[in-house]
Amino acid sequence: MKNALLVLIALCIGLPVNGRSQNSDSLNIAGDQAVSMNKLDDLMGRAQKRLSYIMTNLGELSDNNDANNNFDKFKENLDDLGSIRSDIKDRVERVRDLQGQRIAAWTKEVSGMTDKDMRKITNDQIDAAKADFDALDKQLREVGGDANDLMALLEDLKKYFASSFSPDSIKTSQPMVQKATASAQEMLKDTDALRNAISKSKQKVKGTSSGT
Amino acid sequence: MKIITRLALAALIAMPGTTLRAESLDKLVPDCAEILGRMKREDIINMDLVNEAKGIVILNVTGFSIGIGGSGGDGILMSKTEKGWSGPVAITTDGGTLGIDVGGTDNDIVILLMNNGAVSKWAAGENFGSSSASAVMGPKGGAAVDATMKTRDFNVYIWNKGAKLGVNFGGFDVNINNEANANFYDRPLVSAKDILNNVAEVPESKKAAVSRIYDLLK
Repeated sequence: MKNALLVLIALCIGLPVNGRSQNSDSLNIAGDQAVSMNKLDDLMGRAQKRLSYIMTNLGELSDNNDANNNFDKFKENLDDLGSIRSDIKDRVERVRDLQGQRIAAWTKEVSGMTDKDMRKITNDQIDAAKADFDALDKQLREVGGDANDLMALLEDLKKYFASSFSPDSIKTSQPMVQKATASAQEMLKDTDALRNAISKSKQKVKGTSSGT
Repeated sequence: MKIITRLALAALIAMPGTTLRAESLDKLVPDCAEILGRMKREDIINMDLVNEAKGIVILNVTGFSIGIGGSGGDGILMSKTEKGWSGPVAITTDGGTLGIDVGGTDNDIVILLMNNGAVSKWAAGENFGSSSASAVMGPKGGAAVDATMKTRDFNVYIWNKGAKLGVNFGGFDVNINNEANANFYDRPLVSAKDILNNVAEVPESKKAAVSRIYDLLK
């Protein structure tokens, strides 16, 4: 009853139910974190497109269809993908950094709260926010690890074709190409799932979801 | 100078939208996957209704300045067959007011085709007059699907920089991008009908790229 009353009072005076004022440091950082998550999502979309092009290039290459041209495009797209991957890594670090800053600022704000019940509610919300981000971070690391393996496989193919590029070498490369294609297909699927998780997590960070 | 400007303007006005846009399917497939992925992720599109649909159109429509060609769109059309979703058919749209009603210049559009007649109309490259079809904004993700939504011709979803717009649908032409289809399927005379009926299947080398769309449609 007391909690409900506190929430009601907080709503009446314009405070969000987590006890933070509209201009609190943690809310400002949350805004930055949500923007950063948007940028991460954009980069992942670009990486998925580039990976799709690479899969088509590889498919054409293994069919020996305009092989030279497709190998050139494969190399070009792989370089672009490498560059986007580097941006993704930087962006993920930025999101992690902002998460740390947000939780630290939020925790500091709680320590200044005089009401015991409000402090408890907010601490529970902080714990939930930490758990939510930890789950997302685990997914980020898993997909990142798989992406590293896939990049290594694609780089190996690039080296292989660079040293020996003929109808015979293309034929010999089939098992490697098939493995890369299957991994890439899985990567596209996992990245879509990851982007879903980022989108949901972003809503919580922004405080627009009841899950916060 | 004045004459050169007039000539340039005349050339721009005379240039059909398809010449300006027509993309290859190798590029359209990942672009359309991105459009569909976003609509699904942001809970804009209703997946229960996708399961009921007989076909799907995924388009990016750009509005040009008034007097310089109306609007033009590039995208794909797919149908649901007994074997699952067909391969993509490359299409373009010209003119009309397909989602350009609130000053937006770059709209992502997904249209669920709810009956086989609607799929055939798109596959035939028809002109859609402003009152030629019953098209309504589809229900958002998670909303209950009722019989009306299943029986109307189209359920339309439009995304413009995060805004969910009202539907404005009609007065446009659909063109089948035969060149893009021939290149993608490696069959010079492949028809939209063959692709939509799975007579022409997605070549092995292209399957991996198309698989993302199939996964997103689940």
